[in-house]
Formats: sequence, structure tokens, C-alpha cells
Amino acid sequence: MLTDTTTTPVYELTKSDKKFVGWHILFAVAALTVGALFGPLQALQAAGIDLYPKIDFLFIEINGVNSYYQGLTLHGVLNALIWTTFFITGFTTLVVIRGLKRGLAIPILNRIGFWMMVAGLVTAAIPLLGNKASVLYTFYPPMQADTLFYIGLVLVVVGSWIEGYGFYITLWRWRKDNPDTRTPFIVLAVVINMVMWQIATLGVAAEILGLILPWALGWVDGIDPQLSRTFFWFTGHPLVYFWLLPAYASWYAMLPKQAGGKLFSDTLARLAFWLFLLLSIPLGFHHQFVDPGVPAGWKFIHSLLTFGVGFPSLLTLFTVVASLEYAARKRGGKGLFGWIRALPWGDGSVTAQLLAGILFIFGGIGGVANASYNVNLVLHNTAWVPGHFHLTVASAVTLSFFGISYWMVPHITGKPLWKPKWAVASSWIYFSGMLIFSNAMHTVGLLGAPRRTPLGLAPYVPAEWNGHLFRVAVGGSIMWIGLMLFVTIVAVTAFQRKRLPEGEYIDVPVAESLDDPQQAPVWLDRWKPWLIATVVLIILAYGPQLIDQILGIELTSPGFTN
Amino acid sequence: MSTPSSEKTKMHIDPTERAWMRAAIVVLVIFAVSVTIAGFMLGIQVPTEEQRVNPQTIQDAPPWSEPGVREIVPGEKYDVYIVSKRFFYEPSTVEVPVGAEVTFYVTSTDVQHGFKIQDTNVNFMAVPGEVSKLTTTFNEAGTYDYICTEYCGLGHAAMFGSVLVTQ
Amino acid sequence: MTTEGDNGNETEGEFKPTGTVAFVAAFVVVLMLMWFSIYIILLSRGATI
Repeated sequence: MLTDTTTTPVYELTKSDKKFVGWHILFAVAALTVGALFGPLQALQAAGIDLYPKIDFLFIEINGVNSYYQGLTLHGVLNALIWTTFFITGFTTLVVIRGLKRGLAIPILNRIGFWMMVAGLVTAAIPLLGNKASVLYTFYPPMQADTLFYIGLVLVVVGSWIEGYGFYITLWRWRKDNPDTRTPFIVLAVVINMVMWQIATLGVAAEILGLILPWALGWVDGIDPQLSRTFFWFTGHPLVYFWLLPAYASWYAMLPKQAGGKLFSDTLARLAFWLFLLLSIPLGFHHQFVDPGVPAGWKFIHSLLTFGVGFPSLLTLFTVVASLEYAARKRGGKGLFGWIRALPWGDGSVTAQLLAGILFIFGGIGGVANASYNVNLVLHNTAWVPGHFHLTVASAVTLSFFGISYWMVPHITGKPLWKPKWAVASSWIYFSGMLIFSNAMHTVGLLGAPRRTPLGLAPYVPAEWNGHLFRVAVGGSIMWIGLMLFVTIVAVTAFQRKRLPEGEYIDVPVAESLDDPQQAPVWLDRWKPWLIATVVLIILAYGPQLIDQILGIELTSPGFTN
Repeated sequence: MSTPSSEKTKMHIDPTERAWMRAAIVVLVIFAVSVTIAGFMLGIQVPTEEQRVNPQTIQDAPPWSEPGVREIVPGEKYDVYIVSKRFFYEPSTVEVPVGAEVTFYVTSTDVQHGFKIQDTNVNFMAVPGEVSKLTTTFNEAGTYDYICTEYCGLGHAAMFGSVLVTQ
Repeated sequence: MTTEGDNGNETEGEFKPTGTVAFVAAFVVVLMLMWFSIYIILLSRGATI
């Protein structure tokens, strides 16, 4: 019953390619599982239920509150950075091969990139597990981690670049062989994402290589914390689009097929992705609205540019919902809203992505508020912020990746999904927990509760927060149950002995579009103008401030451990 | 690269979606205009570049050698200097009268901290090497906590101070 | 390209996304209400310069 069972695949990945994608997913899910362990602990801590002393044996350095921040760092690094990056590069590998119907141009290049990412993960894991890098996933200097932590991050990022080069070369060769054919939308989408990532990560590369490593290695005495923040957020915002765009690609180009319909507009889907390339990066100051070292004028400009990137997201909302409505009507859906019920809610992969989309509506609304210049004064660094990004990266992205896994793991292993009904349930459980958790986090944040704080220990917590903090604990725990169910289902699916019956095959769902892709304007299939515009806009939006801050650099902050 | 004939490359957009694209722009413009009004007409602004300082020597000279309240115009205008340190604020209590315009200058001598005064719009980062500045008016007497909103180390959760607003 | 039985062709020409319009209209209402509720909190907390 799951999604698409055909006997004759349009194009099949080789065994070795499938295995390669599988390695990505294995590391991704393992990182998710370990990182997520800390989620309910943090949520319960907020409500005054401190389980850390009871599980101190899990930590190398046994020391009460230490464990909270070590756990929070592991939670952020493993879930927000590792689970996403490994899943995305694996998914992109599969989409590029299947979308272009040809193997990677230089498979060894992608293998090198991937294993470099693994090496980076292991390198960073050593200080993380030893409580020598409990600096949270933003690692703001002058808080200083063990050097291995930074080296590990560099290896993960450079590894992802190398995988990216493998994709660019593959697409480039395909275009040479198919000069008159539009790049399949789904391939265009995931490759645009890798290119955007390549440009965006130059910020964090400059931060780590230019500022942090010389300082962590003791070559210089101090660091400039403000400039580090500016470099970090050059990468930090596009980072969230790097997570999100693969989920969007699935919603645009896979979900309609799974729901029994077609993509409503191939042309506008392409336009949206080009706009994401153009607008994802030059707006990082909206994370620095309340920084002392950035002029308010530049903050305002970046706020307006952030409203600009709201446009392709709003476009996405329409196109995706229209594609789903088309599918639902074909399935006999009736009424203004009643058609929603006609969608295949019995399919775990579809349900996960639909619920991801519903949560993302609220994530998007909160995001607009965050980006709204002075409105940020109400929200900055309050519990609202993690409330918000659990609706984006931990819902829109993570739940969509659950959904994708529910067809992708059977696809690459040739084994049937274990307990399809539980797969449906896992998403509903996670979704319910997330509704409770995120609502409570947003509310208590508006009341003034800070993020990144074990509120169970804070002396200033007023009684009016307590009810909300209790809901944080309840929601966070329910989410974890849903997540563990997901992990169990994909693990059993992958490692069971049972195989799909002879001749049966789970294909990659690729939706056709209502309009002919060949009719998309040429300028929506050309890289050069978009790349030039992207670079020019970044120079305009960041250049003057970067020059100013670099020329005014003051290396006056020595390092501190937590 | 050869291309299909130019007529074929005209962009086809469903009329309803075209209408939505216009509506989306209108919605975003409404937000942009609203924040502009709040920022540039109602004086609700974010911090801007204030002053670069050396976090290691800043407390050697006034005003930072003696942080606290400065009365500029009695009952009307006050400046408050606060130094963020792991894991307390110096000073940890300040007293100002109701209805006065109070400007907060905050910096850090070690790591990054946050500084958020509850129930006001004063909410910014305290970054070593920089001075953060925002102004507010307390219209009701009472205690307003200022709390650290950025992870600064093991004692972070205990880091706070209070503004006592008196009649 | 279409290999599977596809009888949706007659609906393709006339598909009007009325449900989608209703959906995005409801979205805009929710978006406006939520955003302005935060904006009002901002205004109520007063000027900062």
C-alpha cells in the first residue's frame, strides 16, 4: 500500500549507490537518536523534574548541571547539524541519480566527501562526549571549546562541499548531453540547495579558520566576539534554508505523486528555488537585531530582505496546497476544506509530510515575527525562539524526513516497511507532542522566559510560567515517544530479514507537473544570471559592514571554558 | 545551448496563483510598513553601533569602574551602567523613579551574555568589546528583573538582577 | 511519459484551486492575527530611544 509499488522501475540506482545513500541515512538516524535523548530531559528540567543526576552514569564527567549544557550541546549539534546534513546529502545523492537517470559523474569524489563528514563527526564527538566542547551548537566565542570540536566541524562542512562538487559535475555533464531539455525540477531544486550551502558556509569557514582556530591554538591571544557573530550568522540563517529546501523539494515534486496528483506549477516551483538561492543569504543580520556592534540601518535593510525571502515561501504554500488539492479532487474530495480528508492519510509517508506542513504554517508565521526588526525585541533569546525552530527544523524538516524515510529505506534496502500503521501513528504522536511543546514555548517566551536555560534552577521564575513549563515537559516527552517509534520502524525495516516479494519494487516518487517543464522560460534553467545576481546581492547587503567590522577588528577577548 | 522557440518560453501562471502572488506581496508590505512606523515614528528601535571598548581594561576608568545609576535630570532622566560577568550583573540592583527616561548601557568583561528587562522592550546582547544601549520608561512602580538570556557558562541560570522602580 | 492509467486529463484543463484559495485566505487571517498580537505587545512595552 505504501506510495508507489511498481514492477518496472523507470531507472534504478545501482546496488553500490543504494548502499552509499544508506550509509548517509544510517549516520543521520544514529545522530538523531542520540541527540534526541536529551530533548525530554531538557523539557522535564524546565518543569523542575531534574533527571540528570539519575543518569549521570551516561556522562563522562559526572557533575550535576554540567550535564544539562553538555546534553544541550549534543542535542543541537547532533540534531540540527548532523542529522540534517547527513540526511540531506544522502537524499540529494538519490535525487540527483534518479532524477537525471544516470550515475554520479565521479562517484569517488562523493565517497571522499561523505567519509570526510564521518571523520569530522567522530573528531567533534571526542570533545563533545568528554564535556570539552559544551559551547552549544552556535559556539559563540569567547566561550572556547577543545580544538578538535572546530576541526570536526570544518571536516563536516568541507566534506559536504566535496559531495556538492560531485553533484555539480554530474548535473553539468547531463546538461551537456541534454542541451535542449529542461533540468528535471527535482534535481534543480536539490542542486540549488547545495550551491546555496556552498556560498553560505563561507561565513562559518571564515569564522573558524580565520578567527577561532588561531585563537584556540594559542597563535593569537584574543578574538573579536562581534565579528565572530557576524561571520556565524552569514551562515546561520541560510543554514535553516539548507535544511528546509530538501523538504520543500519533496513537498513540490514527490508528495503530489504520493498523493495521486501532479505538481501544480513546475515553472513557479523553479522560480521559488532560484529566489531561495538569491535571497537566503543576504539577510543574516536579522539574527543580530539586538547586537551592539551592527548599525541599525543595516539591520533594517536585512529585515526588509527577509520579508523578501518570505515571498518564495508564500509561493510554495500556494503551489504545494494546490498540488495536494488537485490530488484530493482526483480522489473524489469535495468541499471548500473537505478535500483535505480525501488525501491518503493512511500512508505513513504522506501523513508525516502533511503534518510537517501544518506545523510549518505556524513555524513560518513565527519566523515572520522573528524577522520583523523591532518586533524581535519582544522575542529575542526567549523560549519563543526554540519554540519556533522546533516547528521548522524539528517539524517541517524532521517530520518530512521521517516521511521520506518511510519510502526511501524500503527503496534502498528492497525490504518492506515494517508496521506501516505504526508509521502513521509515529507522525501523529510526534505532531501532538510538538503542538503542546511549541505552543507552550512560544507562550512562555512572550512572558519573558529565556532560552538555553535550565529554568528548573533559575531563581527568577514567576509562578505564572509554571503551567506552561509543565506543558513543555509533557509535549517534549510525547515528541520523544513519536521519534523513537520512527527510529524503531526504520531500523527494523532496514535490518529485518524479510524482503519485498519477487518483482515488487518501491520506486522513488517523482511527480509530473500540470504544465510541461519544457515550457518553463529559459531564464529559469540558467545558472549564470542567478549566480551573478546572488553574489552581487550578497556584496551589496554584506560588503560594507564586513569591511567595516574586519577593518575595526580587535582581538581583545581571551577564551573561557564553561 | 540551443533553446526552444521563444513563444514557448513565455511564463504560464495560473490566474489564481498570480492573484496570490500579489496578495503575498501586499501582506509582506503591510508588515514592513508596520515595523517602519514602530521604529522610525514611535521610537521603538533596536540597538545600534555605540562604542568599542576593551573588555580587559574597561573597568579601569569611569564610568565602568563604578557601574550603577547616574542621575542626569532628577526624576526625569537617568543613565544606568551595568557590567555583565560570569555569573552576575554589577550592580545587581538599581533604583530609578517611576516615569523617568532610563538609558541602559551594558557590556561584558568575559563571555557573551544577554540582557533582558522583563515587561519592557529592553532586550539585547552584552558582547565583550562592545557597549549595548537602549532606553525605556517604567510607568508602574515595582520590581523588574533583568535576566541573562544567553548561555554564558555553568552558572547561567542564576544570573539576574533587578530594577526597583519607586514612586 | 505517463505509463500508468491516468484518467485525470479531463479535469486538468478545468481544475480551479478553490480549496487552495480558501486555505491561503484562512492562512492570511491567522498570520495577520498572530503577527499583530505580537506587534501590540511591542507597542505596549514602549519606546527604546
